[in-house]
Parts: sequence; structure tokens; C-alpha cells
Amino acid sequence: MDCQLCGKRPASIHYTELSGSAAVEYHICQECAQEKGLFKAAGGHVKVSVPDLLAGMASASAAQEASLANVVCPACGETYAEFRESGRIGCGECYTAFAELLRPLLRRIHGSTQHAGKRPSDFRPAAPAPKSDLARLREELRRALEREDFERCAEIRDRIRKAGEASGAT
Amino acid sequence: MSTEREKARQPGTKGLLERMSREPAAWMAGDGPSAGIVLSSRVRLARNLQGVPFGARAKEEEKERVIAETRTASREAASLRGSVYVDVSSLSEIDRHLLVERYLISRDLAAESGSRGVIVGQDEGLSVLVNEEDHLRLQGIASGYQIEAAWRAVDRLDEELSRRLGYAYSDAWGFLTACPTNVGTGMRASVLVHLPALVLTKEIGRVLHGVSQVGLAVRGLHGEGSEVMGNFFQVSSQATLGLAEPEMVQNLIGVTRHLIENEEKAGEVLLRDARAEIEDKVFRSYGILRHCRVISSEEVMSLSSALRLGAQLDLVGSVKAGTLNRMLILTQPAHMQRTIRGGDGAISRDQKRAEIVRALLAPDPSTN
Repeated sequence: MDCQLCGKRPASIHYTELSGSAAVEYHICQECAQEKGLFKAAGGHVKVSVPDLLAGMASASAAQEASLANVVCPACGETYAEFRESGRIGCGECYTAFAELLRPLLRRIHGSTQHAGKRPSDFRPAAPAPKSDLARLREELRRALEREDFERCAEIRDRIRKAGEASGAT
Repeated sequence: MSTEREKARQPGTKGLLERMSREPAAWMAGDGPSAGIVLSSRVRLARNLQGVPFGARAKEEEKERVIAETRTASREAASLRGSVYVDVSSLSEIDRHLLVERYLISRDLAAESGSRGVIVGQDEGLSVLVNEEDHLRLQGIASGYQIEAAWRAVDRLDEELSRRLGYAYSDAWGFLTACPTNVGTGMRASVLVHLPALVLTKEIGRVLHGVSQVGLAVRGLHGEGSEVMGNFFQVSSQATLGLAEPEMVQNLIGVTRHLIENEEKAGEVLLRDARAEIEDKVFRSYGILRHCRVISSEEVMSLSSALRLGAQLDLVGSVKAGTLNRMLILTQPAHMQRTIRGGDGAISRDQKRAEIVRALLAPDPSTN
């Protein structure tokens, strides 16, 4: 398969970009990827460049953008502007400080914003758990709907109802 | 702080590096399932300690603290019994590259400065990279098509360490990492596959395209240039949010099985439609490797790929996957430099490489 950009060299990087429900596929060669700055290559090691993803995101107006740039993490002092520049988060607290700004990025990268994997063995949920359980169940419901597993949907819906009652929510 | 440095120079490091330059790790033995096509299965987990800034923002004393806490925790972890801590910041450039060639540290970690290291488990199957962009990168690696085994081993190590280290974690976003592309499970599961028949039948584009459509990334194994070398491809999981680890592991297992089946089918097609050409390619490569006197690592890579195909298709029964893995690992540049350092100064690296290759393929190692 030839590179979609230069049409000459064989494509060696294949990736799918998710935006909302649409998936766009790219097949490009290493040289073009480097040239276009789509990936950062160091000694053949290819990484998705977060700053470029950020730049590519249809985000806020210039004025909003300027005010976002000054959001700062109270723990390590990293600003959102610095994160945009480097693509690297400063510390665990940054995730709370930049939460609203990170959410669309995480959805774009992973197609989800809810952790569904393991927890540390000593983890004790600090806040009342039902809310995050609910979020987890809703995410699961969304996925079951996507794969049209209606039996599973009904099951999850029952569990959501129960979790809602337990937490006193209506 | 200075005591940390002293501890790093404990005899374990020297002995470990010495052994590495002579012997491949257990996971390179080529004895796992489908080991002719799948060289290795690897799972890594990114973890950070709570309350300490991540890699790029951590001060030197914070990095030292991460190292000290991790080493203490690792001494109590059953999975890391008999492990050695290697202080990467005190190593020569050759030894850092030796660790890169062993898949124990990343090129980034080799090139960076500051306190950093790697805890190497007894047979190199488990390791913990300390102070890369994340505080910890736990790695499990197994021979052949054993993704599940690699995952189980690294999962167990993670449990052991998390009992002693407070990880940065949020219930909404999982394990918090320096790069948002890793947040959540922090997991990347990958296989290194050899797909020469698919390349020769020109089916590779179609097959890899399919792989990329199910959310996995594929990249060619690159040498110093940008050309894909030796028909090796690395297939790895990408997303770390929204899917639990076992689901991701299953995805990769399924896709890898698909790759194995396709490669085997392509091999059958080659034997049916072009047996003479394939035999010629395999045996010419075998001949050069058996009798060469001067050879570059790129040439070893490409000729041993043809020989590996021959072994896979049962054309050269005496050549085992383990021998070819050994050849690939031990003839890499840093491995070679270390081997030569101890020996005859008059012999060039490419000459020494040819010697090693011939010895590995000699019918009886005593006669060459």
C-alpha cells in the first residue's frame, strides 16, 4: 500500500483517528509523518504527538483559548499552555485541574473517558462510590448499545436503576 | 543519595551485563507456541507515585526518592526475587544500548540524563523501568505467542508493588500518566511478529490494514534507516481508556491468531506456486550465513529472515527458531561492541559477527 500523502513510498504507519462516531484511517510513510509532524520519531520509535492532536482539535474561540492557557495546576504549577506545548502532564493533580479541558482530548484519543480496568489493590473510593459506578455502568451501556447486545443492555439498565436507588438519586 | 549510587555499583550489575552480552534472555529461547512466527509477547504498564511530579517536572531529589521507594518495594515483591537494579545514569553508552537491544530500556531512557534505572528480574522476563516519562514502567515479556502469560506475570508484579507504593490513580480516569495517550490502564500489549510470506505474496498491506481497523497499531521494526527490516512487525494495543485489561489482551490474542493463520496460508501458497524460487532464496541465505567472513547486522537481519521462513516451511529442519533468535540478539551493534571489547583488538566488528553467525549454524559447534 502506498503512502496517502506522497503516493510514492510504501505506507508503514497505519492508524485510525476517532472523532465522535466517525473513524478516519490514515496510511502514511515514516518520512511524511515526520515531515508533517504527525508523529514524533526518535530512533524509529513512533509516538502519537499530543500537541498536534490538541492543535487539530476544533476547540474554543481565540478569547476562550487565551483564558484557558492560564489555567494552572495548584500542585505542580504546570499551566494548560505548557501542557499544550509539550503534550506532557505535570503531575497527578493536573488531571483534576485540567479535567474539563482534557475530557474532549481523551475521548478523541481513546474513544472513551471512563476507566474500565483494574484498581490499585489498596484503593478505597474516597467519595461515595455509586456515582462513579453509575458512570461506569452508563459507559458499559453505551458500549452494549453500540454492539447491539440488547440482552446485556437490559441487564445493565436494571443495575443502573438499582445503583440509583442505593445512592438515593432519583 | 550517594548511598544509592554505591548500591547501584553492586557486583550484580557487572555480572548481569557480562552475561547479557554472551547469552540471550529466557524469553528469546524460541520455545513458546508459534514461536517461528511470533517472536515475543510483551505487556507494559505505566504507573506513577502519588504526590510526586511526573518525569519531566520531577526534581533530582524527587527522582532519587522514586528510585529508593521502588527498590524497597521490589525487594519485597516475590515476582522480583533475585532481581538486579541497574543504575542507567552510571552506565557507558554501549551498556545503555545493550539494555535497549534487550528491550529492557527505551531509547528515550538511554538518551536522557538524571537519576534513572531499571530493575531486571531473574530471567529478564519481568522488569521495572524507573524515571522515564512515567515513574514506573512495568514490563512482562514471554517467548512466542503467550500474550496472556505476559499479562498475568506483569499483573501479579503490579499487585505486589501497589501494596507498597501509593499509585497516582483516579476512579474516573484510572492510572494517571505523563502522556494522556496512556492514562487509564496504562497498558500497552504487543507482539513482535515475523511475516515474510505475507510480504512475499504482497498480502501484507491488506492484512495490516485490517489490523489497523480494529484499533491496533502496526509498525515495522526499523534498523538505523527507515526501511522495514527482516519482515518484522510490532502489533500493539492503543487505547487505554474504556476497555478493561483482559478485553484488550483478548483483542490482541485474536488479531495475532489471525496474523499467524494468514502467514501460514501465505507460506503454503508460496510452496505451491513458487517452490523452486523460495527454496533458492532460503538456501542461498543459509549458504551465505554458514560461510560468511565479514557481515553487517542489517545483512544478518535480512538473510536470517529468509532462513527463518525456511525453518517455518520445514525446508531446513536442522535450524531452530531459538538459534535464529540468538543470532539476532547477539549480533546487534552494542552486543557486538561489548563482545569485542574483551577480545582480540585486530578483528573488526563485522568479522566477529561473521564468526558468531558461523558458529551458531555449524552442524557441530566444535568443527567450523
